[in-house]
Amino acid sequence: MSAPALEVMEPGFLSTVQDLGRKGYFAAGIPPSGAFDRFALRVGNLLVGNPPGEAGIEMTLMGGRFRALRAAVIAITGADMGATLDGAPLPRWEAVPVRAGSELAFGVAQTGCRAYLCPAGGVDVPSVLGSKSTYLIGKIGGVRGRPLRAGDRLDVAPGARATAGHRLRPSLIPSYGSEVELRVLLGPQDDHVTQASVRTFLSAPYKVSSKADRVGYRFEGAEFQFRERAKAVEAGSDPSNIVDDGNAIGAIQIPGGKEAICMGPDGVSMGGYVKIACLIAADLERMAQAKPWDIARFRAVAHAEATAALRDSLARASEASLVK
Amino acid sequence: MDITAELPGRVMEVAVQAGQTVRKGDVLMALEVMKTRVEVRAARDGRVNHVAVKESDEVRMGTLLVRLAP
Repeated sequence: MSAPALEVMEPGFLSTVQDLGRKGYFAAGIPPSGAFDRFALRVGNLLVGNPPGEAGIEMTLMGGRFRALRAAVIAITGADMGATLDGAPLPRWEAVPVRAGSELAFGVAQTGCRAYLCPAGGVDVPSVLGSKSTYLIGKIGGVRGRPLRAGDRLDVAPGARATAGHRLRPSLIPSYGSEVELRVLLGPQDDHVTQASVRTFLSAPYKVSSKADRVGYRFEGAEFQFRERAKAVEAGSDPSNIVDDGNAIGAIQIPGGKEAICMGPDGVSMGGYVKIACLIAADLERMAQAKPWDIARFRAVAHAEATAALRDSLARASEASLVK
Repeated sequence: MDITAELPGRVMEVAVQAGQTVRKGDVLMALEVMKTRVEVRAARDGRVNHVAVKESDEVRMGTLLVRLAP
């Protein structure tokens, strides 16, 4: 039986319940949602003995304060928000015991952008379309489809397999800097911009703008030049317009050629702008930890490298990566 | 007292001018942080000595926003 285990005292800037997302509804316009940094959520769950896809709390930029309503084992992964337990610093990437009545506090992200709080047993909210993930625009999943608020009491299922002390191998702990390399597959419409523009895109620094969230990350930098082409009348007047087609999570649109917008886990399923490239799935977790002002550089890879990187990310988020 | 940006973003709105007195809790400005409006409030009573940013400025964590005199 689940029972209230965590009370939200302060929610922080934006905290939502996320698992690994709802699959199979993107064609109907409902994005997968789920943890932006899937590696961090998976590892957080494994550390506390959960299946890797249990629901945890994703905190953004500035974390909240929580009170444990009963004894629990938790793990904190992802961004360093200076977590404390009753005032004492709390290690990340490690399963730690929490006594009933104790207070967990998080501050501003010192490195990275998103931290995950994973309780043994997982945050127990109703599944909506097969997932506990919060999709804010659709107002579904998580706690009534909204961010956490002060006063929320979160149920946690019993975490029978939890053992404090499990850690992630230190060599596997990601370091988040203020510069990030994001690997992309070019296309499907990179041929709509000049080769010089593609080269610039793959070499120039792009700044993460303040308009970056779970729907999409905006990058500011060199503008894009479009090739002359026969206008598709039905596509629209913007040189970046195409007849709408489907987006992938990670698709990088360049509306007006002014900026690049990369779809996040809550991204939209269709768009009428040229997509110069698509972020590889393995690097969604890197983008998740980039915050406004950080610098991104895009590097083109082949499909084989993209799939190998995803396999590698999944392999790193496994039981074999834990020190017990 | 320096009021600095806790989070990185863009100045959406400046609600005060130099010389103005403010009460603790008054909104000094609004920032857009990850497409969300975040209000910056006075941490105590005082007089606005200096407004260091203007609308649409981009601010980093720790950027000086407003200087309050007692």
